[in-house]
Amino acid sequence: MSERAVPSTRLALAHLWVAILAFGVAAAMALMQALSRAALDLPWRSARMYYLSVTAHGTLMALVFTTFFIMALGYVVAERTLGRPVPHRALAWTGYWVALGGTLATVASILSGKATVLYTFYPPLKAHPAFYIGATLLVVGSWIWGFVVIRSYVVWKRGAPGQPAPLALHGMLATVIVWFIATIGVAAEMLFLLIPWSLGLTKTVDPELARMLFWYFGHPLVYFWLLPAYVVWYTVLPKVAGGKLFSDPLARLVFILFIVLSTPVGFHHQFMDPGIPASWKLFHAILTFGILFPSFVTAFTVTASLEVAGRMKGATGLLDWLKRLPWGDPLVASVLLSMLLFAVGGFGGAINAAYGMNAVVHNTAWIQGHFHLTVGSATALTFMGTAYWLLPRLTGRELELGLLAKVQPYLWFIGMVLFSISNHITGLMGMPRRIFDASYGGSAVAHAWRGLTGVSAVGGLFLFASSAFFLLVMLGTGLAGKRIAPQPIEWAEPLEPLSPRAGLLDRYGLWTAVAVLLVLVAYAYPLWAHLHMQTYGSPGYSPF
Amino acid sequence: MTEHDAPHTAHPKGTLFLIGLYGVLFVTGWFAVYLLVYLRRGGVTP
Repeated sequence: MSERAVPSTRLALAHLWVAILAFGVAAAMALMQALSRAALDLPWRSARMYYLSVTAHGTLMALVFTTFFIMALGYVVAERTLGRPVPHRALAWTGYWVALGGTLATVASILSGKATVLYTFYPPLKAHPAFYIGATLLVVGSWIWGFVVIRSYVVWKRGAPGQPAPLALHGMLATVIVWFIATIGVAAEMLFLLIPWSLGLTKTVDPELARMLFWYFGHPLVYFWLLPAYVVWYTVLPKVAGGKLFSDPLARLVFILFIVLSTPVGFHHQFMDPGIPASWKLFHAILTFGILFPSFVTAFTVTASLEVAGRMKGATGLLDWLKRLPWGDPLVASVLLSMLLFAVGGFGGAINAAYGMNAVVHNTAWIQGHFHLTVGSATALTFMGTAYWLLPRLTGRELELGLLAKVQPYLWFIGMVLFSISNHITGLMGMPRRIFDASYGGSAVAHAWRGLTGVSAVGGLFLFASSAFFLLVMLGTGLAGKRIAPQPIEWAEPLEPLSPRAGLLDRYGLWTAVAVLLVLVAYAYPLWAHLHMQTYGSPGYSPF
Repeated sequence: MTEHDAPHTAHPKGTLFLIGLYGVLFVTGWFAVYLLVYLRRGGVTP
């Protein structure tokens, strides 16, 4: 299928541009926060502006940039791996407009100061109904996307019975399944608690139930971000690096393990919450350690694929294959650096997930240090690298400002090391997260954090410069890139030939059923017990 | 030379070294926080 003949390119591009623009606005918000926490006296600096910008940054980065980018990648994968247009294109466009409309409503409510509830929107912090309804529409739009991706597979499968899905599509199907299971929680929170409450139909809200439903959604949300990044690591990176995928079956196993294990782990975000028995928290903690395993397998398989690439270029020693990798390629550099940062993030995650040790880092700056290594690096930096690879192929334009694209991943890496490591350390020193002024009015304890908040701010400057480079490259390519002959979208071949027959790891219905069963085991009783507990509703609270 | 004799199909010794090194650092780091931070502060479990 020629690139020009692909009808859904516009669909993918429309999603990609929303993601890029959301990233740009969110990045601008982030700079102000990093400088504000270092107590620099900026114009218009105030607590109100700080928390408004934290809400906008979190919502635009974590919910809008990621979701629209993943939808764009999903359409590309569904279409290019199967070699046929996605079905239900009118429905797919409807999903786009629903998600975009919801996003605009949510962002408008935040920027007008009526929804300063942070991206976790924990009640009793209360937002304007447009925030909740808009976020719900974003999810509804993503459900339509997920339906179209699944239908692409089902329609293809009818003409190819018994064949396994191409690996990239296998990963995207796992992403969709994880997303469908996860968003049941946030849909319930929105429809039964937050939207009626914000509309004044109910007077009070149950904050603990809302948190339980949020984190049912909130942790698998991490894997909704991560699995598409893994799709790129497994199926694009080895090809661009000049090698082959080390093991297709191992990669398939990883995606299936994420389907099964992503959701029943949410209580590790609620170790400090009352009302949830310790035994259930421990059960979720054990499952959380289980979900480290597929990421370790990924670290092995992707690194081995890179070693294959280096050895295909003539490397023979223990590590000299690392020098043979194309470190100057923006996609390769982005993914390699994101993997390095994610390795540190994984270590921190194992501390967050430990029932006892979580008490040391809970709600401290450690947490923001951690998730900027995971979603802020493993996901965001991979997505930026993927955009360098994808945008020229979708637009038929040459990547412009190539030097900036080469430098940008390294700036991000330096910035993130400065930002995240300093936040991990200040977190251990007791600095809370989500505070407007880290000086605490000149307290002696807070004085000890001062140097490191400055380091964090310098990291923020690097990250902002990196973000600006990324946006310049994207806008330069999209608006003024030189027209070139269409480049193919190619996927990595496995080192060993792939079995032509679908196996146990390709039975999505079975693994979805296993996942749902495990979710019921992990959540049914605690939820039932909470609903039968004497609880006290809270009225809404808007600090600004 | 057959495909299976080619250097790129050999055992990924460099990868195993790096993953092993990461494993050692991971476990060492985890226990360092456990022993030097968590237990030193009293080892409170919620």
